[in-house]
Amino acid sequence: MSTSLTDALLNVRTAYRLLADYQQHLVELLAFVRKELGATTYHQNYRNAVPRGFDRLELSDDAGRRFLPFNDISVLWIKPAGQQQDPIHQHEAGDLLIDVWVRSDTGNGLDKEPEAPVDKSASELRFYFYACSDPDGEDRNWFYSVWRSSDYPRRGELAAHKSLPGYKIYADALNLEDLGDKASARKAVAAMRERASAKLGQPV
Amino acid sequence: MLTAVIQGKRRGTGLSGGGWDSSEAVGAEDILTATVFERLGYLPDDVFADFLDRLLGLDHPAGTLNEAEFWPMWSTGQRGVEPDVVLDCTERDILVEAKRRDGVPQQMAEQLARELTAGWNEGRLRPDTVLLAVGGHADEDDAVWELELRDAVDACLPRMDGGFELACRSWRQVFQALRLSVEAAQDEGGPLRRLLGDIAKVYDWHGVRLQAMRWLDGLEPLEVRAASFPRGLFAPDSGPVPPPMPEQPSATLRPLSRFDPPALTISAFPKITWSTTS
Repeated sequence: MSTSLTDALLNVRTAYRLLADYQQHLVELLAFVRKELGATTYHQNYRNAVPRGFDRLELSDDAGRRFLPFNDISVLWIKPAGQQQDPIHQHEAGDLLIDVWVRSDTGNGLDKEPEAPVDKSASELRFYFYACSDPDGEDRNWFYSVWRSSDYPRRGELAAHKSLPGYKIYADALNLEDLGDKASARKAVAAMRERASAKLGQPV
Repeated sequence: MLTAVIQGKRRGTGLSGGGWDSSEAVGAEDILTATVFERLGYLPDDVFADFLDRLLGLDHPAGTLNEAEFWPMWSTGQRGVEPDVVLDCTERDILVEAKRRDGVPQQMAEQLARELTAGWNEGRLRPDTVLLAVGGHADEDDAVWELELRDAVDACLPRMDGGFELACRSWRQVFQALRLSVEAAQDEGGPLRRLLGDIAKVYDWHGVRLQAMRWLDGLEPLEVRAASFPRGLFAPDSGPVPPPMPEQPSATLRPLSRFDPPALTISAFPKITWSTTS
């Protein structure tokens, strides 16, 4: 075996360990942020869905990426304002769905964003606060009926849901460099809560 | 009984009808307390004393264990109280009030004060009792919260019969102190490791973390050269066009010999869970 390939495979083994460690850190960080926001775990969306099988998989240029399901995952939380029996389907004014999109590499070109070399891109948690401001009394699933049928606004902006008048979305983001320890993370999340509360006109 | 409960053999345990999720089983929170503190009674004296030293760091150590009493029924004179555990040690008493959750403020000064008062009333606690509040703290690193709780307990005591020393500890800290004591005892593969394994199982059942939170600042910086995703994966529609990649075979033929070695240094897998064999 060539020295180059020996080195490359050594680095792959190292990279897997690095990724496992990083992802473990992120899972724990997400839990910390969720508790800070007072939200509960609801669902997740894997943008990189693991292939169901290997048949004809070799024809796809996408196969390698799809085996990285944590990359660009959206973790969804809910924060009901009321005491309804079924907060996933029965929404009240002030209810929130929070989408945390883990952007470990903002320059990877996903979602029509510009590609950038890794040293020019960033590592972020993108937050999208979906607020039910004017419920119409209809039962409606947060994930299928609200989240999946929406478009993301730009960071810092508030937008109406494109098809549901009683819902609005606020976009924010935190750079992972600002979430290195408890004090920093707590401060960054608190500042984001203030921004989101002001934009949405309700406590977040 | 712990194994029976965890394996779903719960008839007669008072926990029948619950699933693996301990929150579904009435009274399950007491299993956590009993599992941990019952097993302290099986520790050799030197390991027990070492555990207390690691957990509490008392200037005046409590000594070794004479007896552990669970949920004694005491009275303040006005009402009954039921502390979770009383550890009667050779030098000091340790009154344990356990709350199930770490990271959730559940400890109440009034309750702690009533338990101290009742213990002194009935002559069941010596002066200079150690009041160990396990779990039920918003943040295990918040020393100010501990001071405030101590002052609040002080304020609730009708009179100072005996004085107390408050120690607020998380379930995680209890486990880590015990783990370090067992490891120091060099009991590789022995009964103490199995005892610790039992406690690890019940922690897992209750969703209690064994590890400290891993913050991103703890990530080891590695020298990794910029690398590209496989060609053809993303089609940028705006922004700068990335530099062209070197000629590559099609997706069906990417020989490993063409694999570019980025510069990485070795890092370790994260420790997934505590293991009886590690």
